[in-house]
Amino acid sequence: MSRAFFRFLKLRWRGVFGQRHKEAELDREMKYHLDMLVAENIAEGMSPKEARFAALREFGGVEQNREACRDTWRPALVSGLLGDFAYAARSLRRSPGFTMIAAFTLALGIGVNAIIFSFVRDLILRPLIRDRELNLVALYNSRVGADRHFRFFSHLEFAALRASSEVFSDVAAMGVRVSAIGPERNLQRRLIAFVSENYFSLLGVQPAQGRFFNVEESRPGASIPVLVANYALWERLGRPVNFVGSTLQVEDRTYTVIGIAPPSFVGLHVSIGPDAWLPLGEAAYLAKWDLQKNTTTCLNLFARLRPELSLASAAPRLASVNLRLNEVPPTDRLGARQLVLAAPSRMNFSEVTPQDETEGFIPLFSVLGLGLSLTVLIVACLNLANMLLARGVARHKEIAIRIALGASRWQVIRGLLAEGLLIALLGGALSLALGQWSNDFLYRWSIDAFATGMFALSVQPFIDLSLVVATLGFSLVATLAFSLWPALRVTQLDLYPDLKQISGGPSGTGRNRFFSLGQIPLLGQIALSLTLLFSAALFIRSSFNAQTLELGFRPQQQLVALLDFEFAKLDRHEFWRRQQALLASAATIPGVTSAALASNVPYNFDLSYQPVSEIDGVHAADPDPKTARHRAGYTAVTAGYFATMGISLVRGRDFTAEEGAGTAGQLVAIIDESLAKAMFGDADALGRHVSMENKSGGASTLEIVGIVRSPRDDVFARAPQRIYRPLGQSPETNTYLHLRVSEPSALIDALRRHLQSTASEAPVLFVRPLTQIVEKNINVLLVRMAGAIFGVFGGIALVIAVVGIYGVKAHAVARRTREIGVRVALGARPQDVMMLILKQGALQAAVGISLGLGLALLAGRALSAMLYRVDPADPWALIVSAVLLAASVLLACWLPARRATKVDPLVAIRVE
Amino acid sequence: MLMGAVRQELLQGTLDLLILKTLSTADLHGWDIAKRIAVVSSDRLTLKQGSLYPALHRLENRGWIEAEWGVSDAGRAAKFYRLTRAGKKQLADEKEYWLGFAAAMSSVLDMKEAR
Repeated sequence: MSRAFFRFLKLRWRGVFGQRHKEAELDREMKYHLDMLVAENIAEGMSPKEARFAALREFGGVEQNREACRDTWRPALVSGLLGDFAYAARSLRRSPGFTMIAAFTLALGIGVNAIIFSFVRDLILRPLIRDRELNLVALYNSRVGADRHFRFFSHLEFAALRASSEVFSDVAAMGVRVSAIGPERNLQRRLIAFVSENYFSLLGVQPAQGRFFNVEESRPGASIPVLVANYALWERLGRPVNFVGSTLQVEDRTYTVIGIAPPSFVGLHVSIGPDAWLPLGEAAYLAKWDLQKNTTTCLNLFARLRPELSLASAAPRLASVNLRLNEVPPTDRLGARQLVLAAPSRMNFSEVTPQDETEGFIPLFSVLGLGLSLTVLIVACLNLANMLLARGVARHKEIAIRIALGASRWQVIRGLLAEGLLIALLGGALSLALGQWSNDFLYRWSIDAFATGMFALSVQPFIDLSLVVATLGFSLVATLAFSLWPALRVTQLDLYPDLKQISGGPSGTGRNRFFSLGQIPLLGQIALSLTLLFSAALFIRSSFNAQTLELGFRPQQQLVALLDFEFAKLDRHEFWRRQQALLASAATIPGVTSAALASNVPYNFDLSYQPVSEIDGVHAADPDPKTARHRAGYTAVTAGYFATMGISLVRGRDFTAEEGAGTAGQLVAIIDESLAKAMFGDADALGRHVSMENKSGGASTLEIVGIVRSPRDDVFARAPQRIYRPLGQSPETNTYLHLRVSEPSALIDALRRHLQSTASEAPVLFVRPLTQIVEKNINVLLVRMAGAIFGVFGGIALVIAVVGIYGVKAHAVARRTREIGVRVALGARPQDVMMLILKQGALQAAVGISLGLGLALLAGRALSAMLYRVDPADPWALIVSAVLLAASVLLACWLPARRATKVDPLVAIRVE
Repeated sequence: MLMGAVRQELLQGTLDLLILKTLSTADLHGWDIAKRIAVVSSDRLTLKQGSLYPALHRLENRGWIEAEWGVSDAGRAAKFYRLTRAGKKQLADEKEYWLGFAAAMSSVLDMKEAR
């Protein structure tokens, strides 16, 4: 049996590929036979010419026989399939409009799936696979007996855990710092990370160029200035050659680049990461972390579990590790510590065990994004089914002829499936082109969007082999699922009537019946389109809400420069003197109408929160001291800050120039309305006093001199309670220079040059219009991105609906030309004909939309967690999307209907 | 009716059987097969000789015969066909069917007229 099968395979193989060889053999074989015939005829006494002629007659058609032999070589299935595809290709080429529309709509459906899938792959799947493969866990350090009083680890604890072998096969440490990094004199405020030398090997990565750290460099206090750059940093700097070996500035120190991390590697977290990794030995200089002391607790730890352990089975074995942990001298009075293990977090940098991340924004975004993009694909597929069905019905006669000529139903179905498959492949190829284009677009967009953030963003090539394969998979499944049914349906025919008529449809076969099976794809498409449109409307509203939020300040016409005097290593009075000089000289720049300094800027994640205690407020007499303490966002500013920022003063006054300069004796503060309300109720807060801790540890009593309207600090959170103090009374090294100018972007370069020449000791970390800081805030971006993505989904659904329904209706009208001709001949007016077509469209739209309403509301509920200040059942969004969809469906019906009114009855009836 | 004078057109499907039977006596090339059929049937069965080849290739494709190049009596290279085991079995089956069919046909044709 197996030999026979092998033979069979060999023959098939030769049949397909050994064609030329077999042709030659056949020629020789047949020539031999002819020669023998000729020889025999000559022997019988014919002339050579006669003999040859007779031989050919005897033999029969040489070419026919040769073709007949060839037929036996071709494996039946392959030649059949090739035939099907050739036929399908010819048939599709004959109607390029239909083919392009079908392929294009399918490409949109597949394309959005490819893009969303690539997001999910990078954000969820890859980290998950890596964590599982490496058996990776994150370590947290809490007080014994309660999962609270979390803190970071000290280096001594790290060393103790690393020396243990009961549970972990290796432990690595990382500490992060918001720093400033860049080529000399062009530093930017970015995240950096200090890591142990086994950090990279534990995560299983190899450098893209150069090397990673060695033990010597990571030893606490080593002070060897080297760094490993993030691939994204290298790209942002323009991929300089000889980057490894060159130097970069981090704060006030020069570092040699010894390596570049692999592309898209950002460490444990997803997509955002530090710009550069420095050895732990450098933390002493930059961050002033004395890692040799047990009180310096600032390390995040993560580990690889021993191969035989899992997160669950490791927990009971932690006791012995906890013993080792507690052998390290304690750092505080809180007593014994214990380890808490958790799956590595994708977002969390803090010392506290993360919340369940399956409920975070990114998983939610992924699930909903995939769900909605699949819906888009389903809509595209339903549309394809619709179009194939309409086309199949219009081709009834052709199909009937083929069957009458002896084609089996299966052969016809195969031909129709081949058509579907070709469309799908075309759509798949088109979607890859589309995906590549949107990839480039997203790449440029994200570079631009995240250039102002503090994090390095890893952007991967979205299109890779796995995605191509997935895309082709989508195409094939889509086709098989959605062209099989139309194929089955249109091949169910009654030969006789179908052959008889030509272009008019059968008039009494239930075509006008409303709830026929053929309506299902159309109704499903309308219903799902409504769902997508509604989701899009919700997201667009939420994006709109995020952008038109009442900020509490006016970011327009404002330029902000960030300088950090901390790197200048000056004493408190000296840098304050420089800051004042800076402010004075900046105010003289032509075009500047007002200027001020502040220690932080809204929407930039650098607001510091400080406890403010009531002295004569409503809770001052309360026995529980906690109720009289408030957490308030704290900003140190110069006089004129509120006017420059456009923050309105509700009561009282701004700081005077003397207070701002720190020369007046009385310590003062300005608070916002919400803090005033919290501390003093409805009573007047002016002239009252609060107490705030100093940096030196003591407390200062501040007199409240003004109350301002609360400015926001973030999109998601409510405006925080705030307190402002004069910069001169409480100097800060981090300095934001605010300038009110008429044309902010025109002045950026001039201001940068001015600052570099007047304040050369402090690096200029950025110069940027305030509007940009607000718009490029990551949370604003997220909301806007969601709005853009889901808006595109809705738009695609709408386009597909219009195009698809138009295609179906145009076919239907063409099919009914004769019937319409008869109606017109019998006295129907153009508007009657129009109504005939539109009525059906309107009915279908109404039923489809009513079906879609329920689905849309369900989708809204699923999306509610991602919406920003929008009711998930927002009636306006629902009405607008329903009306838009209904109008589109009617438009798609109206175009063919108008053509129907122009039918000339004489021509139409004679069409036969 | 002069049986010998009338050339019988080959019944559809019988060519395969003829070829298989002919090959059961010896390994032959196409020309020989044609000759042998003509001789054995006393020229009563004729065929357009060219149609032999599609039949041969079809049988080869089904695995009932296999081919090998050899040297013919005329001293030229020719393609010799040989019956395979599957081919022998097929021949036996076909022969049985054909003989049964022929016997049934002749008993019907020999039927006495009722009148």
